[in-house]
Amino acid sequence: MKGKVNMRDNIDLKEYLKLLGIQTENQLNQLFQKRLSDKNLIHLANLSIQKHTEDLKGLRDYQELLALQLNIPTKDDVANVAKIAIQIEEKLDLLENQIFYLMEEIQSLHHKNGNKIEKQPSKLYELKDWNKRRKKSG
Amino acid sequence: VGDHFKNLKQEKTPLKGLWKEAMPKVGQTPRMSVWKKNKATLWYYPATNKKFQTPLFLIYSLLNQPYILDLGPGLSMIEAFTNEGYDVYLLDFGIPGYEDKDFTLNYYIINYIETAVQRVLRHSNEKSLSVIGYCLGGTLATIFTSVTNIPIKNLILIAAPIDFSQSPQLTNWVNSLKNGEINLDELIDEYGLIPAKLVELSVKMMTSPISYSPYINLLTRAHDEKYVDKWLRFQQWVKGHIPFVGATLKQILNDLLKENKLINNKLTIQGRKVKLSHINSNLLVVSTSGDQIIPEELIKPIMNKVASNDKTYLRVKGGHVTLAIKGEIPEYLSEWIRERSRSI
Repeated sequence: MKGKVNMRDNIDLKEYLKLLGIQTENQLNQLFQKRLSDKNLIHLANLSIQKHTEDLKGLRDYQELLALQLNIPTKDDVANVAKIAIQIEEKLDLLENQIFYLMEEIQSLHHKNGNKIEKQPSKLYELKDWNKRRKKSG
Repeated sequence: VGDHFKNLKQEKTPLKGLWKEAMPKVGQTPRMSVWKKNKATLWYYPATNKKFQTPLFLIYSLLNQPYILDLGPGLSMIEAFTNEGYDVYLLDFGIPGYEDKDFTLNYYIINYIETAVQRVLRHSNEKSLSVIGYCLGGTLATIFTSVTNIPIKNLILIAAPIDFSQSPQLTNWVNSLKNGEINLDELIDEYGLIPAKLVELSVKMMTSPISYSPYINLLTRAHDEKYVDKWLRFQQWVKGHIPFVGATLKQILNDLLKENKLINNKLTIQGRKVKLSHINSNLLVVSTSGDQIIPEELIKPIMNKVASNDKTYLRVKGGHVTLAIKGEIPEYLSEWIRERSRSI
């Protein structure tokens, strides 16, 4: 009997501690957000943002200057190469869409003329194979 | 309490060696890629036993990875949809790199979402589809549905911010942004790509800067193997923020947050005017009562702006991601989609 009472008390206390923890977390968060919403703090943060931006700009300028002297690419140079790859992919995507469109047009023309459509290997899969081969060949 | 911790120390609980073990594998629902571009992938999850022709197309946020929709067996919204007989497609935008820093909302809407939807229709051999947008993905889905000519049969928005006239969190900060006291444009330009850690910190500041209650929950339910497993998967996602593309962030801050162009029909995407009155799909909008990130006032105003004849607004119990990790589709959602999807 004593054991049962203890067990129940334990469960209650455990739940109580859990509730207390969650409530404290809520109160701490409210306090934190209240302090964070202080207008002076926002003003100070804005000044820090401006200073940080200027520092970043300065750092970038010197980095570019140094990269030029050392004859090494900057992050932007590398990104520009990647952008070309993205552009090519974009063009391939457009071409693929045009192939789809043409295939549909051919099929609807065949349909209108009442011709049987012979199963041709799909241009899409040809293109996909070509893409795979391209990737394999690096 | 003492006994509880003593037991935890002595017994073999799932907590033992928790930090040494590899994280559980997420995204286990069988899938295949239908289309890839840059870092984005359009995933296809075939129905277990197909009952509906109309496919579901899911768009998730740009802040986190979309595997929250497929956390693991029995915890996956995608798995639940496939079990209900739907073919599911998910557009995973991938993790952006520095070279993607100039991608705008326009680019995401037209070059990714619109193209992906065309691919879904082609792949599924259907003429229309259901679009489900989650969080910021819901905002993208709304913009897309407003500007596209592709027939969208059903539009479902879950916890999606649409109206930015009110700011329930950090009001003074948002007001300072709105009235120009704070201007982040130059800083964003300098960064180009906002690091994942900064994204995580910003989200934390907005919701709960101090967060230890998940660990209390873990300790109190340490004997429950299933709970520990779910906890691990969820925490992996919570801490798995991804970098945010600078140009998109600038557009969101200036066009959506500051000028609130979306709800006021003033947004333009690649020369196309975004008018919410162009939306005539069947519309279901869901907000959850415990959502700290996207409260009701940010999503409900869309109801009066669309032209849809069939529109439903639901407020249900739960938090921001409750629906995604339940592992089953709530009856209201299941019934709503079932009644509006073309069955086989």
